Amino acid sequence: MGRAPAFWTEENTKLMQKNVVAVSLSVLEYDRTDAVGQFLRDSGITTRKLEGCLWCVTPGGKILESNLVVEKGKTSFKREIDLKGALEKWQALPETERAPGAVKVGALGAVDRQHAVLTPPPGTLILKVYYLAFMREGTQLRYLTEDDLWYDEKGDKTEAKLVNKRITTPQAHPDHMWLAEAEWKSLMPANPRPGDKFPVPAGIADRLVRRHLNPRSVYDGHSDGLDRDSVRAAELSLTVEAVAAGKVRLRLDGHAKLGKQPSPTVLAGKIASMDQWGYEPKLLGFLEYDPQKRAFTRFDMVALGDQFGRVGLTIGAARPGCQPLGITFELVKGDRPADRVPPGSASAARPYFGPK
Amino acid sequence: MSTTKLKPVAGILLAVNLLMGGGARSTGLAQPSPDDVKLNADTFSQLHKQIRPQPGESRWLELPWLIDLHAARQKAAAEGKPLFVLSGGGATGIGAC
Repeated sequence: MGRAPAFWTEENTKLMQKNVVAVSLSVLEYDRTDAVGQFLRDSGITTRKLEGCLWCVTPGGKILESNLVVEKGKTSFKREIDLKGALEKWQALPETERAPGAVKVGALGAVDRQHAVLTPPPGTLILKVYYLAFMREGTQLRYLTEDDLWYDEKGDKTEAKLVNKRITTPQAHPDHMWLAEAEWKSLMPANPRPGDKFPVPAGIADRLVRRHLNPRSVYDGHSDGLDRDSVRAAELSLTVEAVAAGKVRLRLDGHAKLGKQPSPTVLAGKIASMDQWGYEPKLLGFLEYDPQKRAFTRFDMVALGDQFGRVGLTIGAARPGCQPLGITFELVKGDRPADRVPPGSASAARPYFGPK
Repeated sequence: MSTTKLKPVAGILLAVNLLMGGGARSTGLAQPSPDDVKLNADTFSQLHKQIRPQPGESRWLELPWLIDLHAARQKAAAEGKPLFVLSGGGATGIGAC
């Protein structure tokens, strides 16, 4: 529901841009012992720990609307949150609850770091990552449609036949990759010369492959990274392409073989694999480093290769046969809050940096 | 959803066809070799652009999301607006699912 295109119409999006303050959180925050957790509990937002819940709530904590319905102890989702209804209720409130400055929100005080959203350590280089599943038609690629997602091996159940369609899978799914300051600095040789070639440092390569080339990471919630046994092969290298006073250009090349090899029937495109998965991407990237600023100014990468297995967002549909999955990486400044969202489901309890 | 995808589909069919060497469209679920997908310096920029969200595809990305509820409350109170809260599972609602 949270990202369903049926709700995110142009009209609703404009209404929200103009009339609400949008905030995204994790249900892990429901357990915060600080002022944020108190607000969530006092307002009643913590009724159920479910992802995809939408709430329209006043700064003082009065719920105006939600897509969550709790009746006689049973929880269900409405297809949409009534946005216009929520805004009408907002307008009907007394000035003391809605006028600018009428509600006083005090200082946060001590933060419960165990349950708060992780923040990138100082000096972290942040890459925005997008995953997108394609379909192959002969020698062409195209976007997914509802008919492409199968919920059984032979395609008798498809997204198109579902009563409550949740076709969010065709969207490009976002994530982030973090490189600690010492890590991104290790990518740059001390005296770069055109033609120099060297492997990507092991720690970065390992995290890139197991965490960010993991096709399951955004599509079925398996975002902690792959086990080492799931990596059949992986190789990443950097080559110095050009050196100038204001710019050093590096090229990243690589490939990986992840998960299982497809069975003959999957390879022939006759079934959708529901219980196995595999992904064999090639990687190409172009990085630019400014020696004066001692900073990367470009960090673009693409991974593209065939994948089989489930890709249905949270509900586990699969595409028939082996189909392309593309992943992009690009540098962001990190000055927008949305760019500082932690990678995957990393949290204090599930750290991002360090061995897994 | 399918309606919003129709326009980009036409564009990406044409564009990626070039990347994969063109050729006649086959029917059914033919499985060309993965090597047919040419990821190289010439196709890099186009693929990078095509994998990213297309205009109008994910409008939820067009909001200036905050990820700090307390800061969001302060902003909402100061501006006289309600909060729109999206909760995710282990990740924040606008992060990886």
